[in-house]
Amino acid sequence: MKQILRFILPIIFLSDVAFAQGVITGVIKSGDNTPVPGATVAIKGTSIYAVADTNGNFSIKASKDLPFTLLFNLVGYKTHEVEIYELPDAPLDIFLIDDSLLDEIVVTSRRREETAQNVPIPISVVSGSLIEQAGAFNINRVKELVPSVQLYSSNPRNTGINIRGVGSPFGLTNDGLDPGVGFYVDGVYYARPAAATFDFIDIEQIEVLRGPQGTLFGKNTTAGAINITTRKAGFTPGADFELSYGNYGYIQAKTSITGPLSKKLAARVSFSGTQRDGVIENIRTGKYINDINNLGARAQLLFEPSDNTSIILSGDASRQRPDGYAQVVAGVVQTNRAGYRQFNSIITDLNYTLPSENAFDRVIDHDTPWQSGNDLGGVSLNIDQKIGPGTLTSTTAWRYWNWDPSNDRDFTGLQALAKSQNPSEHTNWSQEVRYAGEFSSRLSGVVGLFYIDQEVKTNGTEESGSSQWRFSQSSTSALWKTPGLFEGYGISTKSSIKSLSAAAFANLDWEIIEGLHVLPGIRFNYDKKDVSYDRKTYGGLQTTVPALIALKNSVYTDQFYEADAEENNFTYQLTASYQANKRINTFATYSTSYKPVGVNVAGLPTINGQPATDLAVIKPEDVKHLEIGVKTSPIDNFTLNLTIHNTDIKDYQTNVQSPELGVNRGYIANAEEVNVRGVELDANFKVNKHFTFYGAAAYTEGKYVTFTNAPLPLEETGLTVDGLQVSFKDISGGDLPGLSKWAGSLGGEFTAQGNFLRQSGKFFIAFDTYYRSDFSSSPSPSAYLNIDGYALLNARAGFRVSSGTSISLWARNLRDKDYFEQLLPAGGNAGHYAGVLGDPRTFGVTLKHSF
Amino acid sequence: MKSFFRLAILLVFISSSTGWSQTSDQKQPKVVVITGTRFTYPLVQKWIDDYNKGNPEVQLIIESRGTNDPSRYDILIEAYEPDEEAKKVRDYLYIARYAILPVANSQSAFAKVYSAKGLNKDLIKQLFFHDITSDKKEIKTPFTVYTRLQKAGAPITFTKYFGYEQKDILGKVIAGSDEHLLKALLRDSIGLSYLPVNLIYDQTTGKPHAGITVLPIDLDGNGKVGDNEKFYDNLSTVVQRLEEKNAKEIFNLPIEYLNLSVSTDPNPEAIAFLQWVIQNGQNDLHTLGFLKPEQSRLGKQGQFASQHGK
Repeated sequence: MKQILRFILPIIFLSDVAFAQGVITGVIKSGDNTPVPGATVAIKGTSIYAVADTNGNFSIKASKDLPFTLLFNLVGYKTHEVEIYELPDAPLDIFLIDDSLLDEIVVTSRRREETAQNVPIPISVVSGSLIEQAGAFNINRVKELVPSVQLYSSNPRNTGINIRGVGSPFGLTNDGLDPGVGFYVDGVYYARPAAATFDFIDIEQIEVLRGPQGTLFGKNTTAGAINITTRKAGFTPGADFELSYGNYGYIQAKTSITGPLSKKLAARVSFSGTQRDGVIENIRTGKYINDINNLGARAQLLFEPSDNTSIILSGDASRQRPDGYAQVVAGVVQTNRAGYRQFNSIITDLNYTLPSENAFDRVIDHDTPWQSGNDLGGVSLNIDQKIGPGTLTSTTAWRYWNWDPSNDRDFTGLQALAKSQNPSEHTNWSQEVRYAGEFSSRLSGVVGLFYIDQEVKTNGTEESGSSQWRFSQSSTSALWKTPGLFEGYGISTKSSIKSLSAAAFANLDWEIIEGLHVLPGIRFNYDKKDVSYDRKTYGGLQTTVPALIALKNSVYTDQFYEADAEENNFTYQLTASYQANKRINTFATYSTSYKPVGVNVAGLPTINGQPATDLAVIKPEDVKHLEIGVKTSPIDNFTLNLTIHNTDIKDYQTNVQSPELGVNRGYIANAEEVNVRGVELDANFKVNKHFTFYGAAAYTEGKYVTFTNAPLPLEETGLTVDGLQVSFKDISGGDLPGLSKWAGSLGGEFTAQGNFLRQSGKFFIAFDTYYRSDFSSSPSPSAYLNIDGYALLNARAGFRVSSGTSISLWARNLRDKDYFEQLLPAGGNAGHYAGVLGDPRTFGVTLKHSF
Repeated sequence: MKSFFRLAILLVFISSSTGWSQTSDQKQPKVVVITGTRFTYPLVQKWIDDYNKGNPEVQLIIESRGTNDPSRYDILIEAYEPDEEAKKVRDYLYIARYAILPVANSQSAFAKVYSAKGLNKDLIKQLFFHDITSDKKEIKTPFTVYTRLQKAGAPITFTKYFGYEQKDILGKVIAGSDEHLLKALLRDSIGLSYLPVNLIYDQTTGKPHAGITVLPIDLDGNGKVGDNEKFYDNLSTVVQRLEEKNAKEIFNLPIEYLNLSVSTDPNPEAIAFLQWVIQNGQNDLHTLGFLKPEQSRLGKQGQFASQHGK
């Protein structure tokens, strides 16, 4: 009997194990066998946790079915997981690994997890934690960490993201062009560059891929891609609450909660809200504008019916309601027009003076409200199914963007332009299906299909005010002074653009001999665009006097056109990479790329009184790109990467700002040929467990090799030769706008283990700097619209824990450097131009609680 | 209901181990309690079954090892070489060897790639220990290493062979036995681990368990894995290939002895059982995934036998 019971007892114990009602004890140690106090021990997927005592001892009740996972967390150490398959008889010895080693950065841009150093693509990675700590809560701020990226935003619509100086036309956005830099969030293509102005919500990581992309996933892009990964819903309950206060009434609140709904279903809900007072005083209204008023939310459901299937349903909605994006007159240029048409003559006649001649006084007197209603959101469904040696992925998305602006485009307190607003509604469907996997020991790859269907509708208004006559006056005729001739005279525009893009793509990675890889890629595109533009004049003095009608027509005319374009295109790339050992990876890529045909959807210039309909459709860009790179890890805690690149673009799609008021966001045209070339250096160095440094430098030359019919720069407006008006200029050899020859960033952090608020964590002090040399802010090189180089310094210090309460003090633009992000001529080219001002010094405190 | 059942069992146990059992003293069977490394239990159970055919009066019981105190058990089975202190107080019988092989979840690309390429010493060190001095190149196929938390025979043997300690293995850690390590590996489609041969193979078919791929090893130590080193489809072939070579001719594949030990004042029934094992215990080694001892150790079996009366 005793023996039988001896058999039975283990069974009883086993039944105990199955319900795991026991207690697990142990001691947590570091690699040198010394106890580690203060580490958190949690049962994954539950809210049960314990904290190790001062001797590293822990005890936790195991109240979950076997097997389950214990998570061991402590700042300064890598998270350690132990899967419990049976309750241990003896105390566990847990060893935590010091995180003083430089982490291998895992990227997913090739739609598989691999280390950044291993990918034969120049890639910059910014982690979610750095984004949080640096206060870089949108892409505009992230650009300071990745010097190859340029972002210009005079408002959310007119936002352009460039990499190495190319991607989007500089200045103003034209809906008829495709962005050259792809913007992806969790694999979903965001078609509107306005997405770049929204606050990040729950960002895990941002990857910036430089150079043409298109054979691996998504939309074809000529300059690169920004690949954003958000934090996934998890089966381990967790939450972050973050609250920031700063000067200018800055308040930012962020919340993210995740956890299981069932064994196979998890959810994450996230919220972000940001408010800040304005930093520019409008002395006319007494309000401070260019404030921040943003709200955003994201919800995600993760369903994992089996180990082989993962389904994510995600939805997000963000809105911005700032009195924002006012530009301040930054200077006045003497144009080639007659003296009475110069800006200073005009305002003198109108008894007006600018409230300040120094833009950095941050004072305006604009009489038309600045408003930037900006809504963005959508839903997506992502399904990953492991099949055979790979994964089949389907990504379906629907997205919207609603834009409701009001601008004072004369940049003054005069009623030249009383209204300038072009609200738009954009919707798109996209579908991507791809299969990526390892097909043999030496062959891996991806093959896929991509489809996107978009529509943008704009219902715009531009209206003259009482001062318009003087700004538009192009002769000395007294008729210009006719009372009420232009007052309330405007244009109402209805335009739409429908575009469809479909593509098939494939990319292989073939290891010919050990370490030597050849990666051919191909892409076939089909693009179709239909545009409709209908502009009608209204208001002003109703007259039958031909001379007065002619004056009105010189300002605004009716215009109607429809155009369509259809293109097929085949592009390819070939990469060869050789990885002699883990420490050095060299690669060379030759690729062709293409930006789809463009259609003008913001009005056409008039030639001899007729719209220049030959400009309605412009040619696709034809890109040839060569890149040579080497990624190295000279020592274990140090990475150093070098890239040399050269891009030749034929029929470069560029924006031309027209002096015609009716062409209210400029028109687009092809520059014959553009060349961009340069060298980039990236480095990360973890000196020891206390000091970490990162840096990047880029030298880039971008030139119009040939552009014979470029627009005149602002100062040459009104140029005549032999009495004939000159409209175009040969700017071949001129610099591309928006591109500094030199740009760089450098950051560093010192950390030390310590206790604060009875928590064990890390004290830190960190800085990051960003420098860029001077650059042109005019599509055609100008003697005036150039921005001096500047350097920014950001700093932060505080205490952080992975679980518990963290606190940080931060300052951005610590030196309170005055700088322009962009300069823009005012509509009508009277000679004055305005600047998009960089933020002044801001500082504040952030409290974050995580559990 | 469950609690009531457990309570009832407990009461029965208490009564059986006190008053009731004492009334049965006149018929108390001969009992031998055995414990130790769990992956050896199938082999030991086979020995027990065969031994009981001729000795039905002896109760040989395999018990989970609930304590580190070896004196509670009549026979202790361990899968690594005991230290000198232990040898002073226990007598050891080396009756079989076991080999440890790297294995991957068959679903993984890693299994497909490296069952063709194989693993050499540098790669094994890089995979399991992230050894930066041994790396040849970046490993591009994803994998997750699984290892055991508690000190035990197989992980000690595996890590020691490559010059490390058990805590040096970098990967997901499980608290459980080698069988649980196998389970964890099967649950993760990119899992990679190491297991004793007898746990890898289905002894009825001789093939690796469904879902497990054995990764060939650079057995001759020339840095490469040739076709003649890819012989892991069948258990009998594996055993034959490993046994036909002298241990010194085998590289990158840890092979260690199982030892069965008794105290210096052993249970006579335990000694009788071990004497039987010395005579008959090697018959089933191959079918159960173990290797025979080398000739040099076979002599020590005789030493054990003579020391304990035979």
